[in-house]
Amino acid sequence: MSSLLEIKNLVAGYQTTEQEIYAVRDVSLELNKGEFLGIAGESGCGKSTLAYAITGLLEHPGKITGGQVLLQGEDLIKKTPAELRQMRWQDFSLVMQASMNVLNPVMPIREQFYDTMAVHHPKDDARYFEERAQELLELVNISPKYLEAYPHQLSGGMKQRVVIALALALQPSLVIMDEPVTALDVVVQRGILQQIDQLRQKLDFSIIFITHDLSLLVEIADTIAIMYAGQVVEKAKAIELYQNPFHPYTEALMQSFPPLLGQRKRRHGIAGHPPNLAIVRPGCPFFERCPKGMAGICDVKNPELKEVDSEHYVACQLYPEGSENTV
Amino acid sequence: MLPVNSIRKEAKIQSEHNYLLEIDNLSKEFKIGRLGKTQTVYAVSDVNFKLKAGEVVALVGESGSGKTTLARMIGYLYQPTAGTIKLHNQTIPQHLSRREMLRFRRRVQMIFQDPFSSLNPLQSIGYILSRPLKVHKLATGVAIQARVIELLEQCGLIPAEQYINKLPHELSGGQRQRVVIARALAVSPQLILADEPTSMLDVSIRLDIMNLMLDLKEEEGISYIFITHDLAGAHYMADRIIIMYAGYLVEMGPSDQVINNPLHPYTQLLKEAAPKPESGLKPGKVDTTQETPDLTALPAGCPFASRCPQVGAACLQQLPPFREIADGYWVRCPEVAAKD
Ligand SMILES: Nc1ncnc2c1ncn2[C@@H]1O[C@H](COP(=O)(O)OP(=O)(O)OP(=O)(O)O)[C@@H](O)[C@H]1O
Ligand SMILES: Nc1ncnc2c1ncn2[C@@H]1O[C@H](COP(=O)(O)OP(=O)(O)OP(=O)(O)O)[C@@H](O)[C@H]1O
Ligand code: SF4
Ligand SMILES: [Mg+2]
Ligand SMILES: [Mg+2]
Repeated sequence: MSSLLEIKNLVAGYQTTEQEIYAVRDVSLELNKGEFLGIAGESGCGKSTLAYAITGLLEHPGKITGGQVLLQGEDLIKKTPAELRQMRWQDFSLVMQASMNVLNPVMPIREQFYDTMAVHHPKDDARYFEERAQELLELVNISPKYLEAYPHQLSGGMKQRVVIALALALQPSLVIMDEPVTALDVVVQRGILQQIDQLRQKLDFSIIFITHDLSLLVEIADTIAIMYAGQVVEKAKAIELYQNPFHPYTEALMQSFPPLLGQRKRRHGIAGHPPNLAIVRPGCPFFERCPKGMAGICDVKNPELKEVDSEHYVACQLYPEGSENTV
Repeated sequence: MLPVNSIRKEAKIQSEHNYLLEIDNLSKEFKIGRLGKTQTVYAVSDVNFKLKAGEVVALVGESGSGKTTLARMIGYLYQPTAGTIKLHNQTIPQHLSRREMLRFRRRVQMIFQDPFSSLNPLQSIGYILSRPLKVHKLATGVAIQARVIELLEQCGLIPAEQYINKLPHELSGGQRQRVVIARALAVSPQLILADEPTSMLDVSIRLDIMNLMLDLKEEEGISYIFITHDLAGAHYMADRIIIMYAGYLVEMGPSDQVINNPLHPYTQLLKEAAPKPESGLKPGKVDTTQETPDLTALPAGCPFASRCPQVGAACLQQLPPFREIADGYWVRCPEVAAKD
């Protein structure tokens, strides 16, 4: 496999009048052609900011202050807005977290498909557009009848599916999806992901999939990255990360799922509060909440993401480089 | 857990002895398509159920099965095509005067499915949360600010001062979702219609928010209709679970029973496809390729028949009735035998 996307030391955030928010902190990730990378992490930890920064859609007051985003060797950060517009949909597409309301409310679904395709399809071929629009809707399990409908006539989950279909319309080589299936029931959700996955294998495009649904990632992603306070704190093959989480945050996250079966019983989330991203502390950002934190070590130096086991990366002082998971 | 409280709550339910909410034969139809060739979408069909004060009911179902439409009718945002909704034994009239409307909003609040479009982009978080307090005269002067800070902190938006002056677009998806929750909690309503309130929260914060909602149920007797796709979350939150399919209620009963021993074939499919955190997160393999129902052309029989592994002759002839097969346990499926 060859590398499609290389994110190197990306730093991004928001400069408001009152303060600066450090939302993406020195993130490096690599994505191969055809790879499915899942990203999970705490609410507000910078996942959407990362998605916007990669695709050049981070708007004022957001800005990228360092690093590179190399898509097939070309640095997207250096591109002009016009160049990026040309690439969007065709080379990469982003399903935004607000996907339920990115559709134009006064335009029927059909026109939204035509518009997206027309940008890069000079041939004004209504027949082709129609067939393709129907095909795309069926791919996400919606009847072509709804091409007539306006967005407000669709349920939340149907809108999300339309946006997914639009993102796939021009077969880009990179598709980034930010919480695209929050409004879908488990059966439909898995049906669509299987469709996308088949398509990915056929067309060899890569996916970055942001979600809180770890079970979905375990099932479908090749690799999972866990973010906390703007940093990638752990990254490994999906099944490895699930069976053998190293980082205390990942571990705590895994224990926060209420069980499905049995009797109802109260449980509690991770103690403490999400970190304030306006502040950069010298130590590990999870230190204050970490059950295994070591005073004098963890609060002094922020651990780097290191490979501590084969293809298993973690940013935590408990794991010296190359160690065989001794803790 | 809190015996005194629950005794008091019992007493309250006893003394009112009727229901907080009663839904009778509620239906909603929509028209789609161009003039001349419009089609009717049967979004919600003939829904009946009752809710006690202090009860949590989870509404679970397929995408497009009518959950939001049902909640919007109860929340006076859609006019039902047929049927009635009673709050405290009083039918909600077709038209509410401004004063009645205000009174209704004081009692019934909605948490919308999409936190991106349900916050005014020009209003600060502090303004959004203080407005209901002022409109309903729940606080004045410095008490307003104090209550706003309390609400933010309860919803895990800490330090609260940092959020007050922010605009909605300056927050992440999950942060916005929590502002929408805080806004609904602000007026201490009797009923909260929560449409996927935790879908954008990570599992840890999701637990905190569900615990907050449960605490308020125990302390203030707030009832919830909790719409979710997360079966484990539904089980965690709700006293009873209602399963919807193609606009119909298909199963209803106590959470433990619906989850541990689902009877309707659609509920069984949902359970099979759901991740089970206690036995490895991986869900079972299910056939996910099958058609979802066409709400503009529902079949004469059971809407699930074309996907149902247990389909029998009776299923195809007419819509199976929603039957009470045991005390408080309802199923719409002739293949399920009555329990004595
Ligand atoms: N326009 C903005 N101005 C200032 N701060 C912002 C802005 N947008 C986001 N932030 C802040 O940046 C941080 C990261 O936000 P981001 O949307 O990337 O989080 P996220 O990981 O996607 O969270 P979620 O899972 O809740 O969607 C948050 O703390 C948020 O409050
Ligand atoms: N305003 C409307 N006009 C026309 N059709 C509508 C309207 N609102 C909803 N519908 C249709 O009614 C059906 C039920 O929609 P609803 O939003 O209630 O589903 P839902 O169960 O909330 O689904 P989801 O889980 O995807 O949010 C859908 O087929 C939808 O297309
Ligand atoms: S009524 Fe018949 S078709 Fe419908 S779910 Fe039950 S068994 Fe299946
Ligand atoms: Mg986000
Ligand atoms: Mg809905």
